[in-house]
Amino acid sequence: MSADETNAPDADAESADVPDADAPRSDSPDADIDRDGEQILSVEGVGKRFSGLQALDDVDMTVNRGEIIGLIGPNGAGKTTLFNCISGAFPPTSGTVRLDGEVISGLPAHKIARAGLARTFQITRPLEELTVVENAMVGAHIHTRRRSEAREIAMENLEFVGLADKAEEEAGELTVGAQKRLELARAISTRPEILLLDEIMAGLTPSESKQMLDLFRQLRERGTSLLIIEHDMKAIMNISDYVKVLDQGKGIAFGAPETVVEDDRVIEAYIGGFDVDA
Amino acid sequence: MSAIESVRDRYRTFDEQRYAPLVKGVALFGLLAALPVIIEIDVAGMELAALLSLKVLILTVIYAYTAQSWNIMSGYTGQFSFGHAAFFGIGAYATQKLLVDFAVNPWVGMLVAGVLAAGYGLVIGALSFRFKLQGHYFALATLAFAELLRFVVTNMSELRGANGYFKPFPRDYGAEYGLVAFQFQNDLPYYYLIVGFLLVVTLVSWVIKNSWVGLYFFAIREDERAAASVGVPSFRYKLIGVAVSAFFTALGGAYWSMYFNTIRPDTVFALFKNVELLLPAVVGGPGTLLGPIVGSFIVTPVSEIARTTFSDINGLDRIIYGAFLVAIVIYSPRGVVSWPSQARALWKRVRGDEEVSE
Repeated sequence: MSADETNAPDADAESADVPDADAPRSDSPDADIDRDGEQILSVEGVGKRFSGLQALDDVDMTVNRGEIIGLIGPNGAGKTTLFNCISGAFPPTSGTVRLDGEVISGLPAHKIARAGLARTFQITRPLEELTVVENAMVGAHIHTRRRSEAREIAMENLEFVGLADKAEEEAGELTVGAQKRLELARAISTRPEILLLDEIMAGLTPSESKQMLDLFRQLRERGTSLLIIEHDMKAIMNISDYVKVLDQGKGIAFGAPETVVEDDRVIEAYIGGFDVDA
Repeated sequence: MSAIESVRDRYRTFDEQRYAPLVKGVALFGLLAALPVIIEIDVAGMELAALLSLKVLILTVIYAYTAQSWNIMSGYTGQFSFGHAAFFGIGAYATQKLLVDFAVNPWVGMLVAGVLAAGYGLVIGALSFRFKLQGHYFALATLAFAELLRFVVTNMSELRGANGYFKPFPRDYGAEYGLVAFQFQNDLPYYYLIVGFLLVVTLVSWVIKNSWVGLYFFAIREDERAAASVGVPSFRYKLIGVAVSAFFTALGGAYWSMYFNTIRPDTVFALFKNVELLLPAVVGGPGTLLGPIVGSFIVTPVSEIARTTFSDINGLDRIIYGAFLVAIVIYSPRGVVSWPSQARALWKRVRGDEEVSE
């Protein structure tokens, strides 16, 4: 599926409940959305079934170069499951995921990482008994087998996230806030084209969150695309170019933040959920 | 600044130098080389050799060597093997079989044995990792693969069944006593030979630890999923760990078969051999370079001395092994080599409290 097709205008998109391969999905971007940049990631009709539970059902979405896309939805909507399907933690039961046009769904996680997609985990997974810099070096070794070069890349990225002074500490000793930044440093040490961030701001102090948003913007300027799951609505509406809304495993809306919050289906999904003044 | 602190600072400056590992290595192996002389020094009318004979030293270094080999797989990649007797036994048996039946020089036989053991390791690893066996389940699977070999060998007439092999004389394979024959007429050359083995496997471990391979191993040990998410092909690297570890463990088995006169299924493939091969690394500090060596110098002499001193109490050495294992797992899972840094941390805390109270 090309970018043009995904972005095809369809005024009645919302009511297109009958599956039709040619018609844009119910949550296709609105006709007036004109997205720049080449397509990096495309998720096409992805579904995931866990013995009896349909965790994801026919989800479509795309991410273009340099975009920041927010992925939101109530608890249990399938956001993390979608991340796991994209990053290869497990394969989707149906549908395809493409990175730069190449099919990556079904590949093991390490190959997807090498193809240029990195992720962080909702519950941080530091390599506890390794030092902070070694954690980041593991990611950097994708590009080089030389330790000195890996160390250089790792230190650059630790500096970027503000952990350079803790480089020689054991990763398990870090505070939650620092572990989150370490997850980011480790992921970007692979120099990904697209970065999947799973609630990386949860548990951060307001000032740490602010710094994190700033890092997101800098990453975007470098040409890295970001797909972000976040519960802090204010932050996500503020930072995202577009927002994708999931509910009960289905994509229910896609669009600019200010349009999405006015979408009836989104409001319904979130009843009494959030108020946005972004 | 106290005297302790100035010594510590000096050590830290030394430790940051590029040549620090070399100096430490030379010091360590220099000490090992000097041990046969040291144990004969007369201290207050008693020679240390009365307690720590050359035979015990050889046994200690053998287990330091095999523990260092075990460490490459289980200490570094975290895949806990309880079945390294399989590789050890393959090393001993393949070397003796080739030597006795085909007059193949033991050095050549030893390398063949190493490759065979690595192959067996790859089979165990590929099956276990493919079916995602982890932790206790993986350990039990390796134990099963080791026990399997014991039963097979015991019942194979081609490998002389339960009788095992008796090492031939050098002239039987066209050699004379000496390095080429892998046989000596006294114990001292055997000691230096196994120290040489230990040096090689320690160097290999050091190179692995200081390369991307080691970092990948550690990443897999710490969190396989996180490692995969940044591009670590864990299946492949776990197999590399198993193969290297199995290869060197088999060399240890080959040495064993040349130093001791006989090998039998119930010695080299013994159930308890699995424990003996891993315990020094666990006690000393799994995942460290020094741990397996330090661990063996704690575990092996104590159990040997207990065994010879209380020879009428059958199995006392095993009770001691068991006690070591339980104590270390409960009280100090990072092993003896972590004690200095833990003591430092404790010291810091105590001093910190004092400063606050002042």
